[in-house]
Amino acid sequence: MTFLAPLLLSLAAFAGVPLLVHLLRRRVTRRVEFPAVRFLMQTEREHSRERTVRNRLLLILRLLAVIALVAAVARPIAAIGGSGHPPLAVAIVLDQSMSTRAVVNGRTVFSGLQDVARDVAGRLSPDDRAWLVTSGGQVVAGSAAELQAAIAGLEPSAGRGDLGGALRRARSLVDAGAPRTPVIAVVSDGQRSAVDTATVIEGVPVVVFAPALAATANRTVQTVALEPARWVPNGRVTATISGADSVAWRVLLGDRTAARGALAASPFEAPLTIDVAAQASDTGWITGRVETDADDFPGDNARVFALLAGAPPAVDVRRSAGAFVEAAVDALVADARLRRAASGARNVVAIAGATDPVDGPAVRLAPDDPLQIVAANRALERAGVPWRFGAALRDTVVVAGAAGEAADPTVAPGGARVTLRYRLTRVALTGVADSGQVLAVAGGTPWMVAGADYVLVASPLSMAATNAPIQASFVPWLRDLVSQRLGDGGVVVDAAPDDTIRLALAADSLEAADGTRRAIDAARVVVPAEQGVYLLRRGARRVGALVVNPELTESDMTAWDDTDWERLVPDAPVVRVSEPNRVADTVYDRAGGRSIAWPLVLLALLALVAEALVARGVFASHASEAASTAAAA
Amino acid sequence: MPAARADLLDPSALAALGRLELVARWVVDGFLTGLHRSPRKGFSVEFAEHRPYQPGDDLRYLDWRIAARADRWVVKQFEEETNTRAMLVLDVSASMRWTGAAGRLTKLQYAEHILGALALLLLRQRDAVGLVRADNELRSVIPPSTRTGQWFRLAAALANAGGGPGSDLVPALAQAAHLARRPGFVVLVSDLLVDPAPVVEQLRTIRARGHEVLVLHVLDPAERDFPEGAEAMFTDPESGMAVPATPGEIRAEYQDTVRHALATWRESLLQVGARYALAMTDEPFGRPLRALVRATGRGGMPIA
Repeated sequence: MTFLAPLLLSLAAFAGVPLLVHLLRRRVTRRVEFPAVRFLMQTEREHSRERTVRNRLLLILRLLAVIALVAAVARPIAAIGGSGHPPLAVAIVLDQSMSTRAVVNGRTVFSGLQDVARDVAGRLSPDDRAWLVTSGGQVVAGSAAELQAAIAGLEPSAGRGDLGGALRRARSLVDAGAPRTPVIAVVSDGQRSAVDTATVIEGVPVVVFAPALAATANRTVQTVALEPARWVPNGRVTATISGADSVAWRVLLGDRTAARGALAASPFEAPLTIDVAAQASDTGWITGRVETDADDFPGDNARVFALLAGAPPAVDVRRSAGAFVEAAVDALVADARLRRAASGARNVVAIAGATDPVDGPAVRLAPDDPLQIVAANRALERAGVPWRFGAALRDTVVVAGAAGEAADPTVAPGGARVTLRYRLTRVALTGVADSGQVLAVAGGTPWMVAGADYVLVASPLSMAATNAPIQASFVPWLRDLVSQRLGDGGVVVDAAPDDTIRLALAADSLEAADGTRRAIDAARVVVPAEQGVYLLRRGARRVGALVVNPELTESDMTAWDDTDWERLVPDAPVVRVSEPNRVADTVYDRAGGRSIAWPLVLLALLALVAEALVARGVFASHASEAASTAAAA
Repeated sequence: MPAARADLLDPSALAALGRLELVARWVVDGFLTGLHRSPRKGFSVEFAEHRPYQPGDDLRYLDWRIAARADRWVVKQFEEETNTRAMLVLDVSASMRWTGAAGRLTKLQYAEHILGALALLLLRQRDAVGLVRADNELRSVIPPSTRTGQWFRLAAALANAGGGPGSDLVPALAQAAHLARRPGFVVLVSDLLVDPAPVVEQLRTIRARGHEVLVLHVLDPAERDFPEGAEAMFTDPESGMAVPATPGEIRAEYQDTVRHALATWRESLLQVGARYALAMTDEPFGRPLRALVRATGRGGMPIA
């Protein structure tokens, strides 16, 4: 037997009260003169045994009443008969991944899953604790009505979601419901790829409703690739497509169909490839899609993409930037990744020493000579940069990420050694809201900091100060600084719906296809749930595109088998239910006991009634009447 | 004295109105009123037989009815009743000095009033009345007498103190039987909180000597009912014995025990030819007095 409120068992101390009273009665101090004591003695002599039995019976009944009441208050659960259904800590894990959008018999799989989840939630009692955990990361705790309302308000997502994470979360939640019997009810379409293989749920009974996956003639656009990344204005679209039968496909650039065709049937594991040459009809960001004809599983019939049409980002390298920077930019220009332009023109990023006066976005490098620090700081002040160079530090340190971890190679030349650096100090500037962010540190002090239109490096990029210029990551890092962080380089970020990602470029808002914007934190961006292209903006500029497509694994309709479930839940029974109307019964049969609070209350009442009868001597009088009758006979 | 019959009044209220002698007179007067016979007439003579009239006979005794009906002259012969001797034995032990409720007479006070009234009643009939008071020893011994002043001697003795630490009724009964000399009445008034066997045996001896024996068992209602109350150590005022008890728990059994004890006394006394009456100290004096008078046959009523 377990108790839902075990702390209340401390009230059992009150059971000692009858015992105490019983014992204290042995110490009578009041004396009363009574001549007929001989009758009392005779009564004691004749009835002592009967009275002893009665007193002990009274004590037992009083103790029983107190203990039964205390136990009832502590809300006991026992594996014997009782009222209601067993108290459960049940987590309903609802799969809302894209694969549940599949249509079977004119109805989406998700609708059927909702019905099952609602049925399970509808059987909850007030003694239960329950949570709804979705593969999309939503957690709702509450009563039956609250969970049913939450379930009804859900829609299938455009991505894979995280059913494994939902299971792990459910595992910890049901533990919090102890001592109720924990049960996890998984309501899923049973797609094998829904749960990653690393997920293991231990020690909790799991009831799985996973209907057989629909054998749809699925057509899938598996991948889309663009070459080059920046079209000037020509490029190629390469896609892989699979289908159970012949597939008609189209490539759209904006609203224009750039190409169309048909492919023979191909299995999911061996898709066919299309390679389409296309030309951008405009400059700037262009969204496109590769799509097939619709089928019963519409989620993977198209994949979207984004390209930037136009000239490469412009850069103006000043002499003060040093020879290594000059050489790296030459290589990037030769590869058409960058183009040279005079600073001051629109969207031109300058790379210069900090003492150089520069208008517009710039990468500013510390001076080689510490005597130029004053001039450099003066130039920073004029440019509105809220950082100042301090004392020169000549110890040898290694560049690391801002939080001390290994530096992101797209952010800083990670692992580079630094032998000369200046201590960077943040200052408050009147009228400048952007205080900047630390991108990399070296020896515990900021080494590279950035704002909306500047990147400031605490060392000159020369071999006398650092070996960063001879690192393999140096040229890509410089390219990303110019084209993505400060310029309009057209970075494309691929993501899955509902993912949480960190952007390597400075962006402050996300613009949807309909023009609506929402602010974002580049360090932690929650990817929209809907498939599509979302432009990344830094202020008024579009600096990249977030391309959201469902994971390819969502198109793999391979179902879980028993082995998979046994691996997922290694030491507890997994009950697979295929009939929707049997799921709730199976879930509520998992409990190890039932509430016996009311039977205990009844027991306490019976004990009190019996105590009253015994105290009044009802049984004794009946016995004496019976004895008198017998004697008379 | 109020117009109501004193023998039917609440004993404690009545006792509060005056001294024992006075109260006893009221009780006796009320009692005799209830008999519907004049206490001044016919008590000392009883009709015996008729005989033929002889000259010189007192014409007062001529039976005129028979003369008128049968024309026969006969006179009524009366047999003057012999004066009897009654010895009253009163238990004045400590247990008799107890009352179960404030304002209620103690058993001893109740018994004194009953015996006072009985003595007065008997003396008015010119019977000789004596008294023995005893606890663990003889406290008062007054030989039976019909002399003037006997009533006051008895009343004075009844008012004496007693209250010894025990009850020894056997010597008192023996003394009473000895003082009676010729067959008469021995009336024992006690709460009988003693061992029955010696008392019953002594009464058997007294009966064997030709005495009529009447036992008036005086009890306080609390001794019979053992009323509700908190748990306490109940102590015998005579022996000092103490028993812890909770009235509520053993009340029913206690009452059974008392009923059984009373029945035992009644049966034992009947077996030796003694008469037994129970008096509760909250009932009017009239009922136990009537029982005594009926037992002595001195009220013109048959002996019970």
